[in-house]
Amino acid sequence: MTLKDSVAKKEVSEEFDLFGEFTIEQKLDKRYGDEKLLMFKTGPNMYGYQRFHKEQLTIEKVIASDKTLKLGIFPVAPIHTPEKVGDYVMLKLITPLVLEPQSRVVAYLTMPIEIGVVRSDTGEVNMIDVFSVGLQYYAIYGTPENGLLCRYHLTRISAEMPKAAMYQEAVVKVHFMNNTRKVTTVNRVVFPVAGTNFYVRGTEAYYNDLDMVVSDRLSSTVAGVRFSSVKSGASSEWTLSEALLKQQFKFIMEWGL
Amino acid sequence: MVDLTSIFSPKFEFLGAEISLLDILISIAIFAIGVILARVLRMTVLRYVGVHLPEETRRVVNRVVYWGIIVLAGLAALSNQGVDFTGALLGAGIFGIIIGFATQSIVANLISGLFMQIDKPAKIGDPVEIVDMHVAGVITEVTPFSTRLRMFDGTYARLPNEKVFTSQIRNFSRNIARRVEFQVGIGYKEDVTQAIAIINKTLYELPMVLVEPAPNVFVDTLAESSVNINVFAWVPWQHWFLMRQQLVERVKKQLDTVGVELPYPQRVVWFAETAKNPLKNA
Repeated sequence: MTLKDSVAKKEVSEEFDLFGEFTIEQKLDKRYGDEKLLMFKTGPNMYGYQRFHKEQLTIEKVIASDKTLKLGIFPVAPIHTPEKVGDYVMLKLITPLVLEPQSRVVAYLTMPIEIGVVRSDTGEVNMIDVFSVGLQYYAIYGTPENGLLCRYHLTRISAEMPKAAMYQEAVVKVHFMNNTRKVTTVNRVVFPVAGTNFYVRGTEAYYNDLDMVVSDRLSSTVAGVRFSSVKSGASSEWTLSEALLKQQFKFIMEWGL
Repeated sequence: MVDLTSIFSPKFEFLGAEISLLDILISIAIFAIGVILARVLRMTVLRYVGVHLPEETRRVVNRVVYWGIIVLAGLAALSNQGVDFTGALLGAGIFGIIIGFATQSIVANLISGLFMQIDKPAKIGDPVEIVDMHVAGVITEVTPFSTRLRMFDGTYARLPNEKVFTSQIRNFSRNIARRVEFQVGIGYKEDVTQAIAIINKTLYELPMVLVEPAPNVFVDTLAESSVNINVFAWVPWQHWFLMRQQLVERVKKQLDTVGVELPYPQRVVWFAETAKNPLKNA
């Protein structure tokens, strides 16, 4: 689906501002948690953009556009705020998941999101602003010598689709597969998120389904994480948000599960 | 039919040596093959090895391979003409020893520069401290003879490679995270558990304080005037300096907010005679 199809559906929620694409005729204001966005026309071919955090002006930009400005407000990869330090996310399970040998299980987790204000009417997607609702946490997966800096998120594991914190979390469905001959405990899921996009529905966000395949490699147990070939989570009522760069990936968790 | 041997074989005297046209052609062929070989080897080395080397090293390897083979080809071509290099080599050896003594430090710098390329203690753009020289800054250039730094105060420093290589080098960006460390002294009457909880809360409010490895806040010493609490927190290396500033300031403010005393150095004085103890008399 394109951005044009993704104009947010008001029936999902009337009292909260939704994700979607918006046309700035004269003035438009949106509120996402403590962040208030103000977009307004200042003159011919000129628009103003302001973001307020708890009513305090945080960022201000002037946007030049020779046609009516359209801005998309969508969930984006949680790696930009307060400053980009890595491309990965670590979902730490509050309760570890114990996998039987040669077993598979499907479960839902939540992952953090950031909200990006993107301009897409120029043919390519340009991020005008990005912000987080709530606190951000980071952690190292591995060691300081050779590990990865990841956005850190504590999540519960659930069999049913959980209710994610509005504007702060997306739901991700993970297909866990234990291909080893021993019981394996999973404490975290780590994967790259840079450039990937989310499915949106009103104020909700949903990530691509993931496969996490646990296997033995030499003397250690590792897990490969990648986009799942099964796209069961997002049905037709979900809209794919615009991404800065779509990508496939396969990441090997070699510093512990 | 022309007899080619009558053209190429006759020898004639040139610069005191007897040479034939055939010898000259063979020498030219040897040198030409040498030039072609030098170019092919240079291309091969650059293609398969050069891509893995830094720019500076790549340039040095390029020159050494090319000119090394050219010189060898030239010597081979001259030797084919009967030129005896024994005397020249002996002279070059003696000359080399003299030059070696005269340019000892230059050669040492050159060799150290090469070893630094192999050892790679730091690369261009890395913030480092050359501990033995008491110099710290960002490496801007490494030449065969010297390492250039933009020091943190903005000045420029040129350091001989020999000194840099033999010094202890502290690289601030080699690992993805560094630990911020500082100490907070609280009054003896204060609740240590509460103070540690406040410090921990302050740490977790800053996104760049890493959750894993977890910060470590603990009582270090029972000092003369205060209970000293150590604060260790891991942060991405790029944010170390800013976090060091912010953390100390925020911890102080938070402890002030809840009224935890951060005492000055103090000493309790007891008088030897009870009668003179003003506290007892009071």
